[in-house]
Amino acid sequence: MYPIVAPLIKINQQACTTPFACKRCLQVCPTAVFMVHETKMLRLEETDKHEPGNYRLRVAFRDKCSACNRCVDVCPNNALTIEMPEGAAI
Amino acid sequence: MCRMCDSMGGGGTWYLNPKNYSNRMYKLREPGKGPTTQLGNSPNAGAAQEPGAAPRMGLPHALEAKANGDLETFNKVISDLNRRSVMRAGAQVVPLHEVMEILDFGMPVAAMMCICRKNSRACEECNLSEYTCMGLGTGMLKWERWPERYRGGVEFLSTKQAKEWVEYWDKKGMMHMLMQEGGDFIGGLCNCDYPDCGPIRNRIDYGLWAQLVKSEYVCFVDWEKCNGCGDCLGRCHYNALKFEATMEKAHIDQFNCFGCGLCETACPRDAISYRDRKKIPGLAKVW
Repeated sequence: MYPIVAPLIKINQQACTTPFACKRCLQVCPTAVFMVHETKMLRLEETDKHEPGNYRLRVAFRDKCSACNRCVDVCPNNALTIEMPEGAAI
Repeated sequence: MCRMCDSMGGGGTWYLNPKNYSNRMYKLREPGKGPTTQLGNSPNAGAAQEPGAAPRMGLPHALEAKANGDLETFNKVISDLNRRSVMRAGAQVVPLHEVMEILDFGMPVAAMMCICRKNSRACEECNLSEYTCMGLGTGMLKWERWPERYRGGVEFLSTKQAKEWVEYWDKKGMMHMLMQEGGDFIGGLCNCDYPDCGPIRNRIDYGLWAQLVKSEYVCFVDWEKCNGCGDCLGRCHYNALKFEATMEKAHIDQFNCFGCGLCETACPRDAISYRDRKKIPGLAKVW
């Protein structure tokens, strides 16, 4: 394994409100970089996936991102941006 | 013997010991863990952290370091995690014929949605042909307390139904593993693939070897029988199986093989067979 600096993925959480219902980026990513989590897990209660804020999108495996930009293309709310960090070439 | 067989096998393979599925084992909670109104200890607890804040511990911390090119921190955190998880039971890969044995005594069993696939690909599994995970033991009888955890419901199955269901996923190309839940109790039988399964990904991408243990077997190709048809290719989730062009035969890397047997169940000529890992000197300690 040699060091590689991975692309920076930014999620605008104000724009990405219902990721579990939308799921476009999660299903299009070739290396499955994203994960979605419920923000609360309550006894006897199922979370409504259409209610904003109940689920949160997270960049879980950023080291696997190749910046192919497919997720940016499919996002209906333009919530995702990918940029290469400075000094990326080691 | 893997480390779980040593401590929980009672002289044999730990997952063929019915004691490990019993209600008594289920009641033995992890130290300090009690009933809660919120699953604060769930793997999803990380979701509650402040937006934009850098993770400070665990796997997210290691991955952030790796993504920034800091392999020193990455290796340190990973070895810390391995040292901690080797102290407790981990998931183990189980080939199809032993899954069938387990289903004979692991009742009650219920099919449900897979939490890994829910998180990684936002899969919403809500009926028997979609469910990929199976809960074992008496814990399943209380599933209704946590509808979000068991989103899409569960379906209790008879032994016969359960066997058919596992075979269905084997044909589709999912490998099988046992999960222990909340301590040593064996609570789940998953059908998994790379990259959506958490334990598989953590092990082969990030070296968390203690959370997922290889099966008791290694798969061998009999080159007298293999005609190079290629039906097994693409079934392996562990980068162990390839087509060796020089020999015009399927080729299994013994050290990458997890012994899940997906290639064995796909072979139309019975050219692939299981060998006991413990009886092969160079592999007996490769878990």
